[in-house]
Amino acid sequence: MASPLDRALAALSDLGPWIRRGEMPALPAPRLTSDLPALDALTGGGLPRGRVSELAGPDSSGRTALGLALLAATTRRSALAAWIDANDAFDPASATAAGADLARVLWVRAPGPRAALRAAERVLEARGFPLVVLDLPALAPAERARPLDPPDELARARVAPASTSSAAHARVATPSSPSRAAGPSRPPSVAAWTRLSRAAAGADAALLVLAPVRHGGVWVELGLELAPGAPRFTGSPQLLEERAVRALLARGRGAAVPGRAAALRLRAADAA
Amino acid sequence: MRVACLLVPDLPLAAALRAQPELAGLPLAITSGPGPRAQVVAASPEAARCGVHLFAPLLHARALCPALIAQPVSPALERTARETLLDVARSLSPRAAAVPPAAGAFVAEAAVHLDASGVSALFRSEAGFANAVTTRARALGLPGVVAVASSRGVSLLAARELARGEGGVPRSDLVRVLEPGSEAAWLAPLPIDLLDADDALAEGLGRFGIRRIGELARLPARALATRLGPGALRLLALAHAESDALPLPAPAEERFEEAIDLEHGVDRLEALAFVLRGLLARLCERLALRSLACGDVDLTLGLAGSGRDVRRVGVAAPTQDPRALLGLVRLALETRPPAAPVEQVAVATRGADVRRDQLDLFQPAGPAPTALARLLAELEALCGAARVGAPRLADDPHPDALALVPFAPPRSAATGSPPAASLLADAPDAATLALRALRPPVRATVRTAAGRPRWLASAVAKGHVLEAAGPWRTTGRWWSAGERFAFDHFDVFTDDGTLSRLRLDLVRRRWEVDGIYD
Repeated sequence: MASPLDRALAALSDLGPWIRRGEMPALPAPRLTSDLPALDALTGGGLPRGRVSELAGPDSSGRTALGLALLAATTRRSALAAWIDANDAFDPASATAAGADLARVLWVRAPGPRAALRAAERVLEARGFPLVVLDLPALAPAERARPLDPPDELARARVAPASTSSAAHARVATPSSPSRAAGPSRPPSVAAWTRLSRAAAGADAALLVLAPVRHGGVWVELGLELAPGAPRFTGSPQLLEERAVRALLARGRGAAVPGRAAALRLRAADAA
Repeated sequence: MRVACLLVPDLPLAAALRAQPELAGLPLAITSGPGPRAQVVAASPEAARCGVHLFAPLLHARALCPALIAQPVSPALERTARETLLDVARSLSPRAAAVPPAAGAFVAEAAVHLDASGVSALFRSEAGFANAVTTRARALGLPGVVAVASSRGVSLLAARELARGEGGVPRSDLVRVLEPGSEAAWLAPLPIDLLDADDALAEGLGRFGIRRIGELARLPARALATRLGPGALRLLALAHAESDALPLPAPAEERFEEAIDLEHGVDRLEALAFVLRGLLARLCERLALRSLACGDVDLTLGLAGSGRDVRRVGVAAPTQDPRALLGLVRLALETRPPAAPVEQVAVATRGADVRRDQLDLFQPAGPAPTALARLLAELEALCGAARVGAPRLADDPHPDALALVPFAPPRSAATGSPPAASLLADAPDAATLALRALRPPVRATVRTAAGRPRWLASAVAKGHVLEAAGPWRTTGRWWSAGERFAFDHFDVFTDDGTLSRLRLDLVRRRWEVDGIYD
């Protein structure tokens, strides 16, 4: 006579191919396309909905341009999108040039990273926004406001006469490199990432984090690292025409195979 | 015409209990002032059972009832309670009007008249309508009685008689309906003091031995007016249950206010927030009665030393959520605290329509209108006023101009067009280059050669300029000395890899970086 355990296992195996002892097939998440074939091919069809994605790269690497491309693709389909702006850097003219319907964009000018995280969580919880872009700060605000000094030769020319005062020597100008930190002044905490990923899953929305460096870790399903290339100035008079960008898929699942890369171009809005 | 009268017999007590429902069931006395020489102007049944009576000195009342809770009368609470009564009436009838405050024995009552014509179609009977009125008033903390009659005067008398009860004991029923034609007979045996005549008239009627309304009704009008003056004719008309000549007015404006007088000055935000929470909750209750939401909030703070702080707190989208409103008001107070301790608080708003959306089968569903309104209010509370909304292209030539409008998703299909770059068949990998604005622009140190930047140092870009495009000149507002502007913009690529937009401010003569191409 079969034991109760054997009978239970037999009943489970009769439930069909969807039930497997010890493993469960992962259902692919629906995608949010960008209408950029090269980018969509790299990401396996677009951003996964209900998940967190990251676009990381230094200044001028194109993360804002790609974020706006996704924003435009979403709003062109009559869906709503939110741009949580911790840098107050959103440019409506650039969004319009990218093809976004501004009336469907909720722009939240958060006063800081903490408010931005909270705002993103609230927007996801409200549902109805298939795309939420969270633009995290790059530079600490205090550092951005500090004026910097001219090059070395000028600094040497301004050196004060010999003085026994240590304070005077302390004021001698030395070129200080712009403290564009490799990341935001305070990256989101583990708890914040957890809440955001849950909120995105609950809302079936794609949360796209723009940041100078990747720090989403295991909470991110799709992570892209952007590296800027050389810009191209053409014409007479000279005009900025485009800039090349290399996108590396650092983290992905399924059709988004990590390690693949794609070359993208960022063209000026009025370039022919 | 049929008229209903909603009457609250003891408004000072009802207003206090509406603001502080936790005092219900306790011996509570409302006094004429805060000092020990104050007199009791209203007492709860629990206090009355202890022997506290009207106009008793507070000291005497405390001696009779040691557990007595005494609160000074609050004109702000009474005013808002009267307005709430009117809101209840207008939520059930299109025409309503407040009864002018009475004097004498009925000085503590508050009443409203509402048009009850044709209510049987909605409420099955006039008694059903009256019950609905009392239920709604009780739900807002104002228990009262309702009487329906053919004129305002008779309905008021009937409501007074109902509230008074028999031998001072309140009746158990809260509604009375007087059938047309039977009102005069019903009024006849009632005591004449229900008419609320002034002292001279009451004394005159007493000298004539008139004790009942029916006795007054039998007197000749001309003789009565000759002996007691024209005021007696009004009483005679009431005794005859004559109909009113004027109809009830329709509401002229929709403005809702809740206010409270504080016992002592409040100088801490948390304590003030506690008071505001109750005010905003009651305000939203009244708005919900009329199916309205709260728009911009006018906050008036009476400060110690006779000062006033009046401010308007903007609300991104009308909402019925008091928590979201409290968040916005708190933010406004934190940003600019009152200059002195707060002694009175009033919040007012004009009702706004609750946005209702019909879903479209062919467009993605957005957030529910109520959820969106709450979200926008919370985001404003989090980020500040004028920092949440839909972006717009500013109709302003200044490069720093910014336009943000209230977020209201359109119902029609999207109007955005594909970017020009991706329309090209040979550019499947092209996106549009975007600018990250720097607000405010970052000061820069620039060295030039032949008018063109050659070296740049700023917090966002630094190094030798490898490529530069420009300049493009933008000018405007030349007619205003304080607002004129002129910029020469350059697109520069520096050897640190940054592609930025540099500008020379020709008015202030300085270099700035106002954006980074990203």
